Amino acid sequence: MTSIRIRNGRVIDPSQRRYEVVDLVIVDGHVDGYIGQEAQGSFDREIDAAGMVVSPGFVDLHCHLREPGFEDKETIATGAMAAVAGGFTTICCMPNTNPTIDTANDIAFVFAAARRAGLARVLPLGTVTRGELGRELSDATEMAAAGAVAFSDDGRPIWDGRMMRYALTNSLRHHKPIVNHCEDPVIADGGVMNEGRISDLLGLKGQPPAAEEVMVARDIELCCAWPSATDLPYPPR
Amino acid sequence: MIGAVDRGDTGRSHSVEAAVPWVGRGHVLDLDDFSHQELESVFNTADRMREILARPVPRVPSLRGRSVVNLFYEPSTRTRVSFELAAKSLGADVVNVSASGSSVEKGETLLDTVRTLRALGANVLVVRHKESGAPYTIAKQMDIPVVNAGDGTHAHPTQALLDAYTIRDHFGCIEGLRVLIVGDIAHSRVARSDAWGLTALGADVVFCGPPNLLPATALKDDGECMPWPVRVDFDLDHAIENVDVVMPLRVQLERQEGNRLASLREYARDFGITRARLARAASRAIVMHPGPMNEGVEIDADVAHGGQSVVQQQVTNGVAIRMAVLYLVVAAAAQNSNGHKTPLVPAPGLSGKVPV
Repeated sequence: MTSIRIRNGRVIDPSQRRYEVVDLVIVDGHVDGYIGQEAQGSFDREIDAAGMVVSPGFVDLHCHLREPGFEDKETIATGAMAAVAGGFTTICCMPNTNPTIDTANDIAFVFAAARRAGLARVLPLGTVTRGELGRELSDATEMAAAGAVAFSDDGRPIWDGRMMRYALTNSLRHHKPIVNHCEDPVIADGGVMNEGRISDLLGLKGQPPAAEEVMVARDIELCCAWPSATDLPYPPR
Repeated sequence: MIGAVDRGDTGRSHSVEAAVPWVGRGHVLDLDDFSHQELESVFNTADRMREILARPVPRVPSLRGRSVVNLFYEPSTRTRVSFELAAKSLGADVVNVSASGSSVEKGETLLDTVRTLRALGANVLVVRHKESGAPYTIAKQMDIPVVNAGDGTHAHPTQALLDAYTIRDHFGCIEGLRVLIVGDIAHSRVARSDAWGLTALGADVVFCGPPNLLPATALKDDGECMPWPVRVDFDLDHAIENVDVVMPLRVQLERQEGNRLASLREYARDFGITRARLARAASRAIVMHPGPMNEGVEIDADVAHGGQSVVQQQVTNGVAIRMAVLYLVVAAAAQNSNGHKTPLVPAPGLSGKVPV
């Protein structure tokens, strides 16, 4: 049995309705309870967290680890390092790698690399369509069985409404969310920032909110029309 | 202080002291934060430069020993030549670098290219780039003056300076003048910088063009107002009534992506500056154009070359304005290295005053 005492940190834990400076005791990797700062006791290890926040690990539902294919930008190991450095213990990585995460083997590759890194818990998403090309559905059921937590063609919208329909209804088999990159590329028209006063000021091409809202509206209608499990990654304002 | 310039070939001394002090601005990237006084100090300096240009040998040694690098990532004739002649008239060495035929084609990044030019001994960088904001990115990294010679659809401060200078030349004073800028405002760095400069000088500026070529905020009615203190009009025949300055912009044929316009014919019919339309402006009105012109589209040939056109004066004034800008930024850099202001880190080779 190993015990750790985290001293003097500000504990923020909404699930326990806690927001206070208190010591935390961890036994064998699990929270054992809170004790006053004055309380005595002997522990295998003590950590001084004065001036720091102690909270449950954060979860990032949408990150990019870029591996395989873009290791010059990020790898699963470097992304996991960045995550834990920022307090994120669970991260969900998008499948727009090269090759894209299309199969159970691809999912297994991500898990294996994450295990080697040995840091954050990495939960991969698989593609909705093979190669994110929007032409044919990926085998979501196979990927879900291998551990995919959701499906997305992130980086690209599922612009074909019929494809979106079948991806949604197919989720009745695997019960995982479909995460659409809601952006009508024609309305977005190469914009690099929100359209408005600042884009006019900077002379940068703006992207109107409608580029996103049009596709969100479509997906809401599709979700109303057929049963499914879905999610919009950037919620409407 | 800005020192006197030139004890040149003629042996005469010509002061280029500005009537109002330059604030020590090390870079000129846009006019958005220029005060009325600061603009006047550029114009007063340009007046002196024009005197130099009128000499038999239009050359002074103010920037002798300095290297001005024209880094042009976009095609340009008048701006590049204008900067080159301006720098040479001040005695600088000038190097022209264009994206094609340089290491840019080998994939070198913008910042690596400018660092290389700096290491080679550049003292001033004049930058034209197709991406809005590129000169700002460079200026942040550079300990030498950066002059924006046009960035994407954002700013073109020296064009706006020469425009205002030309208007000032013609009318004496800009305060209260009505200036109409017509055309593809959305993609115009000239219109943006003109709006800042001319409104700072007290002009009443109107943007006119088809809605599809106006900035997004020009069309909004939800209270998100335009960044510039200008008015908007979609109807040229209405907007041109009694204006003092008519400035059609080039219809940027290469930028008409999508279907913003039905046709150039539609544009010319409703937004082209014709002799008949010009007659509705004030009788003393002048016609300006930043060039290059598409005659018969945004401006008719008889207007472009007619008696009210000051297009050639704009081009000529551009050299004096750019001399003034180059002179002032180098003087500011020298001042900074003497510890007066610190937007620029002192550069090797720029210690001490500008040679007088």
